[in-house]
Amino acid sequence: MDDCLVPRNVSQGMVGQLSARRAAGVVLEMIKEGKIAGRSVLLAGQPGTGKTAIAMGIAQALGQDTPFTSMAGSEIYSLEMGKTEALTQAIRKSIGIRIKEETEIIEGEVVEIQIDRPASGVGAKVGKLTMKTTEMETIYDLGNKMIESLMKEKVQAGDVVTIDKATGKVSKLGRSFTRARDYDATGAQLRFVQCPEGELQKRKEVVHTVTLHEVDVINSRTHGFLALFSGDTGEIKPEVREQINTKVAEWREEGKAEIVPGVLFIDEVHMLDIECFSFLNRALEDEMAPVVIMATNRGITRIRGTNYRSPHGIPIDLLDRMIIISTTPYEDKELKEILKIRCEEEDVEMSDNAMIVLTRIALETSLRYAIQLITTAGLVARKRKKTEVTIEEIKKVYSLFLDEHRSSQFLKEYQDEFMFNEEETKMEVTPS
Amino acid sequence: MENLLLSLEGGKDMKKILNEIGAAEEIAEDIMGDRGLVVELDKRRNALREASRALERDSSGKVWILNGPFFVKMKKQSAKEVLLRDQQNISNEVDTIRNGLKEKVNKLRDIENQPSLKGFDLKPLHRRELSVLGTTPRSQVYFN
Repeated sequence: MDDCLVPRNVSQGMVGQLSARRAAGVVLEMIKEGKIAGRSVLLAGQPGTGKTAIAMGIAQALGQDTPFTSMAGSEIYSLEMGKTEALTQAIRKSIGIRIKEETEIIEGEVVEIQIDRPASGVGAKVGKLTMKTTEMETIYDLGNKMIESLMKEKVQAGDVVTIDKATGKVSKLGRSFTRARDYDATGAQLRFVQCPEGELQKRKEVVHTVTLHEVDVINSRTHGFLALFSGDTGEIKPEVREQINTKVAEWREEGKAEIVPGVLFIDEVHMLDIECFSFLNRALEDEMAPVVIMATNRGITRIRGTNYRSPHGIPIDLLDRMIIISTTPYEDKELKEILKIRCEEEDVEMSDNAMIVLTRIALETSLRYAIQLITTAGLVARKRKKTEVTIEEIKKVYSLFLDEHRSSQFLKEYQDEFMFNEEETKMEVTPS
Repeated sequence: MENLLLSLEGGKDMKKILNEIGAAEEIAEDIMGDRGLVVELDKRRNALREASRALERDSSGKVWILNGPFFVKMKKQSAKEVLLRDQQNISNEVDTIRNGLKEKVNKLRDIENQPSLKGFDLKPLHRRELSVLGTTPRSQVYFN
């Protein structure tokens, strides 16, 4: 989009769907300004109209700092944890805390290390360390511990090192470029870095953003951080969460932490049942709640867990609180653009005629099917040693791979011949 | 700079553009000046430290100290205290400058239409408190 939030027709990989993108743009600004925490957005429209793409677009536009969690409605149901636990984890994965770490360090290039062993063989070693940056140089007297650290790290003249003033830890950053010519052969690990600039004693500040879920997992058991990597987190006790919430609130009071509400994207939200919706209702009222973006392609459907029908399979009281953005099916020109972009992405050259045929196919069947045909047609063309895909290849793959409509036709005609066929089974053809 | 020029409507007000560029340059000069000052102060502090070290090793009871344009003879103990106090003053001065730098950098980024760096105005966490959290890849690092 351009700066006035008017979507350009083709931009950043997105095509058409102008009103939905414009609405998404407004939502994005509201998220950035923090004005929409705890509200929810619903992207509704027919399958293949770019809902997930818009959500991904919002995620990218928000940048690295804002937590963005993406999930499908059916992921809630698992044997490992209950529905509410799964939802709580998803919500907490979308709330970040920003904190800052500060250390004083001495960073410079080692000019010389001089260590004197006491003549008597007993007693502490003494030493001097000369360090410099591009702008200054100084000599440090070394105590025993420091000498040991330096020897352990095998620090030599020409190394660029960082010494943490608080812990005394020495880290080698590499070797100075000016010493690159010293030796003809160096080990594989050796990096060359520039001599540091500025003052020797620097203050290093690191700002981290962690999600509440990560904090939960680390604190819920020993070696919790391993669980983060393996993904096997299990259920987390409410006491742990209580403690963490208290701690975070404390830090906020003291000005040591900031809450960064992120975005939780739930696709196929019609798969959630009534209990999940009630839970979400309450969870969204919390002051730290993230923005929830839901997507569905169902029209008026039964709410899971009840016998009531409701728009999109979502209870009306929740729908009431949501901002609804609808997507519309693509038109001719837009389909063509999308297919062109996909061809570029997949590195497939297509003749103009083939493109026209493909666009027709997309119009008549579905966009996704046409996109699948691109890769397959490309492969066929390559096999035939052609440089670009022509109508022949499209025809070939069209006959080889059926789209959903032809597939169900086929089934209807030949259902007797398939296994486990029962007479008069009404098959519910669910849209993809 | 390109951000700045693109966001202002083309050719609308040359004077306005010049003013903004002027303001940006001014702050940038200021920041460079501050950084140079920190380097000088650090040099001075290290010199004082080296002097303290030298004093430790020296056994005589009285030493000469150059204070401004005057040489002053004083007891070793007082001399050490003077050096220590000076080093402390310099450290405080450096901290003040560094804190001021954060504001100036954010102001510069504001003029140049870049998003401001978030989180650096937070108070730092202690080592103990850090163990509650794990550190993650989503970090921004800046040297002051």
